[in-house]
Amino acid sequence: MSSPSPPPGRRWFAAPLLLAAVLAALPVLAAQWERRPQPPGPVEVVERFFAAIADRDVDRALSYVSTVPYGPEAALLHPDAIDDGWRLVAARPAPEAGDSYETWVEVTVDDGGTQATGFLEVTEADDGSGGWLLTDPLVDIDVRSVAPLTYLQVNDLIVPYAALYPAGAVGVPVGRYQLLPGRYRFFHQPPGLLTDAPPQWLLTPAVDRHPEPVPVAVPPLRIPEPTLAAVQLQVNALLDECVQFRVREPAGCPFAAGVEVGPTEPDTVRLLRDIRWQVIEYPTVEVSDPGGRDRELGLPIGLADPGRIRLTATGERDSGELATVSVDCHVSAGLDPMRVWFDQDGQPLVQQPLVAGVGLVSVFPAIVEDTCPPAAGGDR
Amino acid sequence: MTAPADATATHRLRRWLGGAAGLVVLVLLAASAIQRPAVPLAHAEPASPSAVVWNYLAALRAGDPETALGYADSISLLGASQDLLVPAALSDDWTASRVVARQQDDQTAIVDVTITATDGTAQQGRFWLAASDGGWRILNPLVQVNFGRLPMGFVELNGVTTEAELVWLFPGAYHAYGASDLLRVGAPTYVVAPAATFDLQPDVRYYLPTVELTEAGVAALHDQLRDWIDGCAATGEPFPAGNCPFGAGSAEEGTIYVLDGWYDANGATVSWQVVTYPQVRLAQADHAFAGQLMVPGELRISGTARPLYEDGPEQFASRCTVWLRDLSITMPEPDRFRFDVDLDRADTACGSAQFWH
Repeated sequence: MSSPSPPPGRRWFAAPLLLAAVLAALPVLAAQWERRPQPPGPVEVVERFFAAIADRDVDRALSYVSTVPYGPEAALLHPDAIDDGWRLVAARPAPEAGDSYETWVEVTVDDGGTQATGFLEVTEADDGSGGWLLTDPLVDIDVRSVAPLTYLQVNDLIVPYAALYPAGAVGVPVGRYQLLPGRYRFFHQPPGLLTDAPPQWLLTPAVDRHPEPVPVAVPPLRIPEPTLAAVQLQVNALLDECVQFRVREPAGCPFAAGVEVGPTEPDTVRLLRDIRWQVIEYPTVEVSDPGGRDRELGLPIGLADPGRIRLTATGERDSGELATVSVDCHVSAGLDPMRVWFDQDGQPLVQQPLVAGVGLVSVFPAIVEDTCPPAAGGDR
Repeated sequence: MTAPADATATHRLRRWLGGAAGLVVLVLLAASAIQRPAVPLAHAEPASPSAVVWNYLAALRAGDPETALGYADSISLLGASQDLLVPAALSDDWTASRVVARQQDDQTAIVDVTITATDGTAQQGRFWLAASDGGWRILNPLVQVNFGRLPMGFVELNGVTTEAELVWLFPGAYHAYGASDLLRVGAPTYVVAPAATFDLQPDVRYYLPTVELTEAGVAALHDQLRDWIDGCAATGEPFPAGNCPFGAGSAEEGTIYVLDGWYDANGATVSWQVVTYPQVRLAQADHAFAGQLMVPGELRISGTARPLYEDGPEQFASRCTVWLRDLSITMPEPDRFRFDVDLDRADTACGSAQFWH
């Protein structure tokens, strides 16, 4: 049995009812569309970025950044490197801000005594979300050398170089690191050392829209007495090892004999065999910071007293006659002195005399010149 | 039949009204859905770039490189050894953390990850991913590492050894040269984090930590140094051939120089006796250890030869010194040292001091 069909005249109900339903829903739909969460605009993105930094939430801050570094370059993007003595006080569209997909936000930060105003570029994200990302809000610093330290120190963060490059720094661009905007002090309190220089402060962002990397350097250092005493002990230990050598030029040691020893011809003796070295008197070390490039291999160790290292050997006179020779030599603090670095615990690390190399070999042991003055030779 | 017709019309009207009301509800629901974040449907959506990275690293920790590479795009393995891309070279002595998607669009994604070994050694790396029909795929699943500047002529990671210098490695943590009791490396835990250049070419990393010999290594070194000297002395030649660190004059001129005179090497009989062996200390250099001579070795040479410019053979004897000039030491194999010296200066061991300097 088939269903009875509705009278055709009643079908006029259908279309108007549908139309009415849609019309009734439209205001609600429009209202909901308006209430849909809109992606934050450029200024709000900048504010959120700074709020995340204030919360020391590095990854949240970096989520507002389009290009994020990684690896050693990002080693300072760390909560401990964020100082809390500053805040964002203003963020507003910059004059001549840009266009609809690329703009600049003027930012002012304040650390209670100083204000810094700079510009951050914000670009519409290319994922179609309508959101905005900071293009390059990080601050490049250029640490050409941490010598004579073995670590980076930024605010409360100390990063040993060995942790950055545990398997060696070969082939790795060293020296460029990135920071979040904020207030920074560099190498302000190297453990075990003193400095009279005011700390290097940095409050960013910078006024320059495309700033150059900020050069960061270890301040001039003073070596306090306890640290100097530790250097002295290590030098003594180095010399104790060096006198184990039985050759006239102990490798990597701050003393050496020439081919010949002795006062004058014909009493000079050409060294032949049975060479022995003995520490008679340790040298007295002194360490000061020469600044500049001269400390890039570590601080040179000077000598207030060059000490005495005794050489005894069997030699050969010009006549072919064998002779024993005994001469007191000294420790060299010459062109290629011993050098010292300091680790994050303030401990000195004394190195044998080194010279800077070229190419792939960065340093190699220096050859120390004759440190044995003429002395009397004796018959065998 | 009017009544049934009216009833049908009423029924139809109710259906339309019900349908319209349902439509309004649907429209309102759709509107509310606009403001509600979409709930990802785990089974319907492809894994996110971060999830792909997690899965890749989990497979590596499970020692399953085959499954791991299922998350990777195909890459060319030319140019470096694949010897260490084997399950035996993998370990689970590490964890991945801070897996953070930095950038992502429809086609590409970047995921940073920090790999931390159980001893705390950590490195941050970066994976690049691309969208494909099968979901996200890692473009840089492997890392190229160059071991060629070490004094060792072999690579040993997690107990797996290869003679190659340039090797492909999976990300993770490796115990380097742990199988050797002769060596002590400054970075025994080597964390390999993903890397690539901006154009996704392999960013070759160097493994170049400090390398020292253990006490057993120093003993083995001197054992083999003694064998080397003994082998050369046993030749009974005035100028031991091959890679020998001493000789008694000039092989080129055929002349024996000793402290007491010069002899014709032609027809000479020679015997070497080791009095003391040399002792050395090692300093790491590029591709080798530099051997630093601490104590020279001493030999005694004796034999019969014709003095130059005189007739008839006579016996001679002299003390000689093994200077090991420009000594370079390498380890071609895990338990073998190779010694090389400046051979041009090796033959003056027995002459007057004027020839030495």
